[in-house]
Amino acid sequence: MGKTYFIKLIQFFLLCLLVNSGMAQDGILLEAESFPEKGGWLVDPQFVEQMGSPYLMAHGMGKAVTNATTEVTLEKKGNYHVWARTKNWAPGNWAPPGQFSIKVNAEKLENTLGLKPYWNWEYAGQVDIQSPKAKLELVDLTGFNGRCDAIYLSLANEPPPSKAKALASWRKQMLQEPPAPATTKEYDLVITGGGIAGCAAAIAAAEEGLQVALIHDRPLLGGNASSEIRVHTLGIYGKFERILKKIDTEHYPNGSSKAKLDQQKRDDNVKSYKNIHLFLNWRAYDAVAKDDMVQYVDARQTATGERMRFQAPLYVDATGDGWIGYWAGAEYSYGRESVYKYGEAWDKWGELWSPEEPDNFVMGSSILWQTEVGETTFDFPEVPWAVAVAKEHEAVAGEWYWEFSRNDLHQIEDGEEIRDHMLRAIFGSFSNAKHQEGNEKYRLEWVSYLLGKRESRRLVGDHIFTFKDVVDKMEFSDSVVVEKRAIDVHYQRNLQDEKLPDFLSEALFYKTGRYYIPYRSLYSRNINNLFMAGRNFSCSHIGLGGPRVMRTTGQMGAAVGFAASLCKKYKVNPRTIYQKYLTEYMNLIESQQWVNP
Amino acid sequence: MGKSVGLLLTLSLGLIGIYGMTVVLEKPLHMHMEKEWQEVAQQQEMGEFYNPDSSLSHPLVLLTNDQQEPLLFYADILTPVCIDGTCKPVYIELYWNLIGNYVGYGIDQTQPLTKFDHDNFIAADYEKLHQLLLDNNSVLSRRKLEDLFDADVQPEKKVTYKGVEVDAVTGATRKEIKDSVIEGALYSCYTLWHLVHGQVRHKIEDYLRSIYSRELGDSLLYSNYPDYQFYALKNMEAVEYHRHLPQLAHIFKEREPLIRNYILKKLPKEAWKEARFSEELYSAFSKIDLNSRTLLLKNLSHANLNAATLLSEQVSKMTKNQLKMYLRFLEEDESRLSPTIKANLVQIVSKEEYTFTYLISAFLE
Ligand SMILES: Cc1cc2nc3c(=O)[nH]c(=O)nc-3n(C[C@H](O)[C@H](O)[C@H](O)COP(=O)(O)OP(=O)(O)OC[C@H]3O[C@@H](n4cnc5c(N)ncnc54)[C@H](O)[C@@H]3O)c2cc1C
Repeated sequence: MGKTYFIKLIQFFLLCLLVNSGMAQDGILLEAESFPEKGGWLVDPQFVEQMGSPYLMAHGMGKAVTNATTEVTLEKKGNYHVWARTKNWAPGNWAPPGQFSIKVNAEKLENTLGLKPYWNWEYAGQVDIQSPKAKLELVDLTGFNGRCDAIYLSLANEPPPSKAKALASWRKQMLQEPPAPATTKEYDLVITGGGIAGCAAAIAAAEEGLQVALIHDRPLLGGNASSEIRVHTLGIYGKFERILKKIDTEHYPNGSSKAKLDQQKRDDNVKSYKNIHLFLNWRAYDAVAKDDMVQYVDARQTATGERMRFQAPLYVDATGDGWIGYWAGAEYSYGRESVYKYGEAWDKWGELWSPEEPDNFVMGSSILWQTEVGETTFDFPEVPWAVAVAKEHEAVAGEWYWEFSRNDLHQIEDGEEIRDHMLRAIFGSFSNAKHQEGNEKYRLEWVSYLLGKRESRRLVGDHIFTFKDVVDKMEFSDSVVVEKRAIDVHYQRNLQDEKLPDFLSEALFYKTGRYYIPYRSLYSRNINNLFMAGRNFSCSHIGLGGPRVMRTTGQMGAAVGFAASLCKKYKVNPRTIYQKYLTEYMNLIESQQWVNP
Repeated sequence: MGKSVGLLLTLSLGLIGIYGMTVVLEKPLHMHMEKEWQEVAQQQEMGEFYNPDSSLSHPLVLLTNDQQEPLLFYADILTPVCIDGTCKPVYIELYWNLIGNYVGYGIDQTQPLTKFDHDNFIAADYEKLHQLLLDNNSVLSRRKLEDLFDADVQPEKKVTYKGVEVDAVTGATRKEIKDSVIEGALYSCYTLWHLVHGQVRHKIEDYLRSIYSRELGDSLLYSNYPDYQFYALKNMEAVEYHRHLPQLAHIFKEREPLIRNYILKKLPKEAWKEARFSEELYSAFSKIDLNSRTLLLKNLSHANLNAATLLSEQVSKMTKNQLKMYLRFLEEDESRLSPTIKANLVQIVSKEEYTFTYLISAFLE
């Protein structure tokens, strides 16, 4: 569906609504992410579940980005009131960093936007529109992550509702969305999340002849390994070297622009499978289970808002955040278990490793970034709102340990705040460094705006993989994943010294020999047709420490893809493969062994 | 270290029949427990600890005062540091405290530490050595010597992934290694770090555990050393905490977030009810780290009534989620919103300096 068409559709529905309801208000809702010309603004769909919608963000690293524009068709001429849904993302005793304004037909509206410390409708001003069509522009004023979710134009001076629930139903009403997506598509397997785990699952299943849908909310595949986040893949290949080599990365430094090369390889390879139906820029927003079986996954195009329903006998949750399981009612865990729960002590590190009392101190999320030394000097703006987070810290380079976790923050629910905190840490530390002699030619080459996550929801399977499985070197009849990488678990440095920045972490490495993950950790205990692969597999907090790296999560994906093919062959659910067809399954996996020519 | 710890250890030592000999030590170059070191008068051999790298065993010595009260552990080391078959001797005196943490070292002035090109250590090198030995989680602990060597001398070496075991820090490693070791003295750093953090720690810990008692725990708790206090807190049953509330409040205010968090998570419910103790904890709210603040808020429902009031004076220090927790607590039971608390909230709203006043306004409505 065309984007402008979609905008018009909203207007049309709105008019119907107004006629029908006889409201004295003529209003037009424009979703910013649906603007046909986005200029330098980016679509950010990461926090839809918390703030209600994808939004446009001016991520210019300190340089104002070019305008995003759209054309609005108006049924009525008149004096329009204009609101933008936005927020001040770094509130405090300074000028808000993310300011922008709106132009209508080249006329700048009175008020600057991005001022209040929460998502809300801010009043941009009034404009007299006498033409049937009007050009509308978002004008970034700072280059520092101004954000706009939607714009509302109305002849009446009545802003839309602000509270989440009321807003959501108002939005639905404005868009006249029927309860279910109009289109339903059917497959053998529906995979949500195109990180390394999801890609590997798709390839394995496709190679066995399944029709696979891969729903991924980004334009590029790979999740944390993509060139948008730039983490290199670690771990071993296990039985799946051939498949994993199609999608993994070289060992470039985290954050390196070399990630682009592997991006091309990965995208080309996945796209080469005719029976992988790729839905890039589609974000799943719901999954419903009946009688402990997922019935469908609903997803939305992140820019146009178009919706689609995906149905299959089997589903894979490879979202990293366990979204599909969460929506479908699968059991999950979050946080650090008590050290006694699974016997996961490492005395040397005590509380930093695994606490006596459970808590929600998971490993944190990161934003990677890169600088370059230019030919000439480069001025970086003053950023008091960022220095407030960075404090005295100076840096011209980031690394994996730029990581943020705090016990009042949830890695999913507070994702936007965590991301913004990291942006402030980066801009502030860089600004501090720029004040030092010798750094004049440094410039920011790239700062990701996507949160690289390490740990959030872990779906519960028939087996919960823990540290004990590693220490005891447990081998299972259904060992489908093998790893030998050290178990590493992170903690925030400021726990030991509160003077240290709150955005730096430290890793604890437990060296080990080979350890194994059983197939039973890769399907849900209570949702019978749901697999999981990736960091949301069935494990404890410490259990995640080793196998969260992406060749290992890739192994999980591949193992799940092959299991799905047998599920299809015998028309059974994942658990039955373990109970009845384990030999055949293990043989299938064994036959994947890569023999070096 | 309080007298009583010493006394208790003396008794235990007496039981296992080890007797002191007078000792004269050279003043260490770096020493974290200066006071204890000053008091050292006698030494007692405590067996040996083994170093797998050199296949040598070294005698471990307990240093005591003149009344045979234990103060420190000590080892006079002579170990070879070898590279490609060429070895040179390193002389060093190492010190640990009673729970096995490294606290300092000394050298024989006639045998200075040297780098591999035979240059003597300079002052900064000696200081760096002390810092790196203090670091429990040094990069030296998790790397093979060969890998460290590569990173140390071959900055441009490209690490390929195939068949090579690498871990998640590789990108940062080179810099980390450079920061962690003394240039040109990698082998000495490596050897010494492993000596200090190796088997000897278990020896000391095992010994301490074998003589551990409630009284000994108490005296560690009342010592002035954070690691002793943390050790005591961990080895004490939660029900025992009640006997030490003033000291717990003191530790809570003085120590690092990790220890604060530990106390707050372990405190039995009844302890929170003590008016005086609760006042100490909650009035410190704005002065402590954010994670401890969250834990204080989480425990509001069983804390003394004074807690909510004390917090109402410090609302402007709360993060958004913390404020939400606080307001939810007030909302759960109408009687919690006392006139004082309400007045404090109204005042914050009127000042408009706090970012999240909008939440308070909504709550008051
Ligand atoms: C800074 C950092 C450094 C790290 N270092 C390393 C390292 O060096 N090597 C290594 O191998 N690992 C490393 N890790 C760990 C590893 O990157 C993660 O564990 C990774 O998330 C595992 O991959 P995954 O496929 O499970 O998830 P992800 O990579 O997170 O992929 C899941 C994908 O699903 C998409 N998605 C989520 N929800 C939806 C939805 N509702 N609809 C559609 N799509 C959705 C997301 O956009 C995401 O791209 C690091 C992590 C971080 C953050």
